Amino acid sequence: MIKRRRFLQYSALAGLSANPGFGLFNSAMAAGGSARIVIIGGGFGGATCARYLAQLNPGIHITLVDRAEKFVTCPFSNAVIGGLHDISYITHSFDKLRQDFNIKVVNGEVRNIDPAGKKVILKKGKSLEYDRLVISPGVDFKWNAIEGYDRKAAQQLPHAWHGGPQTQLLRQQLLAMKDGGVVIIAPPNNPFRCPPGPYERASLVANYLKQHKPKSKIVILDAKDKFSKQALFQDAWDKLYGEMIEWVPGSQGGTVTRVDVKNKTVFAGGDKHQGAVINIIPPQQAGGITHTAGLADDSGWCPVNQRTFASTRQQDIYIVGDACIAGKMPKSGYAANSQAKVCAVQITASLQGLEEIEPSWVNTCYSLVAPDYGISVAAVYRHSSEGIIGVDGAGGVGPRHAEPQVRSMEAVYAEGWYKAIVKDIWG
Amino acid sequence: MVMKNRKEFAKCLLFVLAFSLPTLSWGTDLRSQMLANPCLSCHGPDKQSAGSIPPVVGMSAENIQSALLDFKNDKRMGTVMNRIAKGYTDEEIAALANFFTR
Repeated sequence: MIKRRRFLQYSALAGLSANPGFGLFNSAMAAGGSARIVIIGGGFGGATCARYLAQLNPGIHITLVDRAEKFVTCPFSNAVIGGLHDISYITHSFDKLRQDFNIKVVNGEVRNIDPAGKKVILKKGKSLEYDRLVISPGVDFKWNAIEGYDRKAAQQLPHAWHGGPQTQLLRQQLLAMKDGGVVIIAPPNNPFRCPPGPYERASLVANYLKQHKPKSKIVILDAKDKFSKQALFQDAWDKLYGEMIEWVPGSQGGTVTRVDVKNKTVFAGGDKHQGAVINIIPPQQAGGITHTAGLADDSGWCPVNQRTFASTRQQDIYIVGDACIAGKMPKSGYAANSQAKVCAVQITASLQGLEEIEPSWVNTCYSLVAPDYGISVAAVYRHSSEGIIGVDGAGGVGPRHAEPQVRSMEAVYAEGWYKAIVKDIWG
Repeated sequence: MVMKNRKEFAKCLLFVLAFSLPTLSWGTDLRSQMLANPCLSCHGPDKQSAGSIPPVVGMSAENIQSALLDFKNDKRMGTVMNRIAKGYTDEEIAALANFFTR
């Protein structure tokens, strides 16, 4: 028999915590034991974190909360808008997470979070107690930051920056548009979800119009003077779509300041632009619940410890994905997936009473410019004294002057990327 | 801490080993897991990609290691892999190759 006093001494020698709640017993069980983890948001960040925590910690209790019964992805929604895929292709159920990973999935809206009581309170009154809480709420829009653009306006002039009915609305408007119409796409200033997304959208809308409504035009009224993968996009536009796409940078009158929904008009840099279809991608901030829970700062995003994704504002709460401030990482689906895995490993280490593990991330992002023309950007990230930074000499966009086979291979890999990552996330 | 006798020492050693070894191996596992996790998004959580991206399953550790080193040193031309492999040290590449074949 080992007496308690000796036990504690030996434990100290073994580098174990004397707190029976963590270190020792969880190490003995070689898993996260019976810890209760609640995850808010079933998208790229939340569902990934749930799955990887379940895999790393058999026996752990994971509850995933999402307001919808199925998740519709933003990645590949441009392919739906452009008619390459159906909405069902980008819609994913939580069934595999339930069945294969023993994750409890709750459909519901979160009313608030009680960090002191370590509880998540749902709108229907039920509350979920947690040992650790992970939040991956994605983005919310700053309604009326563009004058006249609010929730109601989005029913006429879709943002289509959340996958789902908005994606379908924009698709339907393009289908209903007459040949010769002008499509306006208005991307916001940085930072926002999916930096190359608006330009992929312009490309795949052009691909549709070229085939079905060739007299039409796309005007990108941009709040910025440069954008992600710009040279690769613009080379491809010249080659594939000629004059169809016009890009107006912010300093040359691109910044949209007001919309007139009734007259389908947008105001930018002193000019009025009328569009048959108008897609406003409004300025963004971290998802709603983070603001009521005091997790976001004045920037509208959530500061975190960039090694672990633990909130710097509340204990035992982690924020991953678009909503968090993650150094040099972009707000992308792959980044959210990568962050969620780092977070899952760090939570596992902490449940084991282990030191933090040196983190490592990747972002790989494809854009389709046409069904057989893909471009990519990639980066490997590590943590430094300045937070998360890209590894020098690694990553970057694909070559500017590449053989056509490279573009067609990247289109094939873009489709493969989507199939693989959704399986990595939702099973 | 005072060790009364050899028996006591042995007991203590056993205890330390019993708890520190699994802990150490967990730490090592988690380090490889951390490095490899981002690869799984494209190459599949079971090392077999659901789509067109080449799988890693079935490759030997030597083949994975030499492929990654060749991508890193631009001796083999890919699409994104040249850019990604440059983000890893040769030691990390060896660890990844081991992870994918264990």
